[in-house]
Amino acid sequence: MLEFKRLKAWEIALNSCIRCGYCYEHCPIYRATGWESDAPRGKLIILHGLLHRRIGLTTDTGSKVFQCLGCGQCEKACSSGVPLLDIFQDARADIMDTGIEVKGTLAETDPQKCVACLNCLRVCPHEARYFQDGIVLTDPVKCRGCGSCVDTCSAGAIKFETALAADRGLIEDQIREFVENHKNDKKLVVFSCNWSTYPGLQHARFSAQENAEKEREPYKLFVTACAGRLPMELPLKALELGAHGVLVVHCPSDQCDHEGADRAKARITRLRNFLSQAGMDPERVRTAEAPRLDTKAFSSAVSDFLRYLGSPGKKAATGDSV
Amino acid sequence: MNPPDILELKKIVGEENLRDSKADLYVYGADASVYEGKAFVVVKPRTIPAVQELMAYADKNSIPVIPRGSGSGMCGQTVPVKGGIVLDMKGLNRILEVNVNDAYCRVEPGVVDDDLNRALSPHGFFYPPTPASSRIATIGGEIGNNASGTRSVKYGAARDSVLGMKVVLANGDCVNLGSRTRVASSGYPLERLMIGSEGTLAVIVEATLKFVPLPKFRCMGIANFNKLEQAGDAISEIIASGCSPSMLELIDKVAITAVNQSMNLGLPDVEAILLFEADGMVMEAVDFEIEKAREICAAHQGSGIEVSYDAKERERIFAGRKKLFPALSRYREYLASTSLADDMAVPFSRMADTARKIHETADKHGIIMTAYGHCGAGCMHTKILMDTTKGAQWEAAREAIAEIYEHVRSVDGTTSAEHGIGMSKAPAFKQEKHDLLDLMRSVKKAFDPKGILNPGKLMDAPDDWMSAARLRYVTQEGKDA
Repeated sequence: MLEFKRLKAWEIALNSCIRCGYCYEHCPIYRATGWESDAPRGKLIILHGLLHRRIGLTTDTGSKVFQCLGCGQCEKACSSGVPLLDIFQDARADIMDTGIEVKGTLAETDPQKCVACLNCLRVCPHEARYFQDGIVLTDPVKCRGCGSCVDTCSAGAIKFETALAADRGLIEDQIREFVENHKNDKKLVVFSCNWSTYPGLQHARFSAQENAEKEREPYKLFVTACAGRLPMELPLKALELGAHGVLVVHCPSDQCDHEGADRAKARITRLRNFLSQAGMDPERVRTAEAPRLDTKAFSSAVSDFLRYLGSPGKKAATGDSV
Repeated sequence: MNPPDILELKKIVGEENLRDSKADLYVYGADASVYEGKAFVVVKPRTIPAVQELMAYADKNSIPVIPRGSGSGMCGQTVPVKGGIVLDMKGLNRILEVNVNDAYCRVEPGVVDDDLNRALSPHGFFYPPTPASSRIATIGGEIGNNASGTRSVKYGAARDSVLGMKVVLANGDCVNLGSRTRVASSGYPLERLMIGSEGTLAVIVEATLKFVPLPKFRCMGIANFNKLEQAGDAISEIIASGCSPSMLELIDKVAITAVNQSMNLGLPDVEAILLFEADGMVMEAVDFEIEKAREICAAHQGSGIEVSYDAKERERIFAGRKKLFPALSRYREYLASTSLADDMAVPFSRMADTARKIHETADKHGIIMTAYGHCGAGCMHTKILMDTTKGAQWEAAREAIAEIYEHVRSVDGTTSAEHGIGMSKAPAFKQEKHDLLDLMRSVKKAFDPKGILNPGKLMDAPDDWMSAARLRYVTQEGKDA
């Protein structure tokens, strides 16, 4: 018999959620997928259903609460003061106690590659990594998907398939579709940090809509939870798939709570060096800083880049294949 | 009612636009109401032809279809009580045209209200119905519920801003209703029939909306009253004076206590607070309106009156109203704020005694109810704060709601001002519109002969709101409330 002992303590809080949905717009997972069942309200509804046995615990129902990056934006926006993060944490612990398999925005270690250097244990700000039977594993209850472990793993043993709040394969498919639909345009793929650029994104979106149908927007936007979580392979993959340029938009370093901006900049610098060594134009991959509440930084970074990609003499460079 | 063929639906909308896992279906069975239902499948069409194909398929196979925006409705409008296909319309979310010269815009139904206003703002315009939930509410949902908000006193509801629309009928045909012009005199105004129809007649796939200029000046005022009746008289007189406020809000004592208790905003310990706002392009005109409202409030023993044009000051003045919604949720730890008897409209002159009636009825039945709302539009909102784990509290709520709506009818009010009917307000709605129910059913049959569109809502919802669908709450004994 499932107990949900920890979750039971939150029964009143679950009832106090008035299901207004004001959390939607703040959740990077919802904004990436657009499905209400991925939004914080959806997670609370599922937990309410699990607690009262209105739905059964399965990998499907149990995994939802693990698809959360722990940013806490929902909790700040909650009109009823529901302590979502604490509830999610306790629900995760209850679900793990059942031994059920879960999938989520969690770091995964490849045991074949892990050399047990334990660097990830030292850098994990959430104490979510532990050593067992010769490899380092992730504690799904504590992992917030911040990506610190991925960055530090010299063996390349740690992966986040869903670190971008969307399936990697789905992102690649969308890039392919974008490239296919913009055969005659300069193709810019933008990965943008959710926290820094929300107002800027809105501004850019509507500026674009004034001038053209949305599908003719000259760039493809992916909102990431934090630019620091963007693995280097993805910008590279975008170039390989035919993008002419990749822009990574991040917060200013002093506004980033988890050093994501610095990690993003370092990673893109490495990628630019790599492109340079490969004889390609390093300017095809750029970073841009977008301070919070700055409504113009994002759109001006995109415009500058598009102008660069469209400028004379860049045709040969942007025609490179990777 | 038959279950749909999932593979067939995937062919229509694409695999990535369909979800049918237990978790997804459970979430899409709920909205902001007290109810829960269970859909067969959730689909997110991204084109009008996809909606047409879905409807043709559903009609042919007699499968219920429930169009849904963001699920912020409070009365169970989007709860799939008879299973069926939930149409998540958020996949159609493009602003198609902002035509400043002809003063209209065309949008898809999944566009979020705030997003539309962000797009209109650079042109110097805004779309005024804007409910409090504008950060998530979609235009389609707003039209389906004839939504409005704090500025409805001056700018009206969704009904006053819709010029035309494109809808997909139950059989999959797509038709254009209304026009893009400000006037259109002939024929049946079928586009208006859609407004407030709660997804029971057709699926809105595009709307043509008018917009209005953003005012250059806004000025807000506040007045405190020791007696509810004084505030009520002030409301009535402000409206009767020919004054045209852009906002006129009432906050009652229960709400004041809730805000002070949970947020410590230091609102005065009075029976009622009135908030009033005027806007316009010329400051003198705004001054004129505000002065009038101020004088009337003072004449009715309003105290602590202050007014301000300053944005920050206006925000401070409005904080009590803005924080009201969350404050009620935090009133007492064991009390849940339920959306029951959540809104109604009464004549301006009956605002005060309706608020009084709400308080008396709540006291009589041992529950807590507040009375607040856009009183300048005759709109009264309440929430029932109760211990949802106790069966007796639900019975008390049932009796209180019946009494309150009886009062609303007795003063020539109406069941819903802006939140809609769904299931929770259906008993009161059916009593109020008793002589129109057959006619409404005939209209429904003309649009939707097989009754597949959002069945079990409005006039077709059960007479007992408590058993209309499973309630989300569970009693102490572990039973469904």
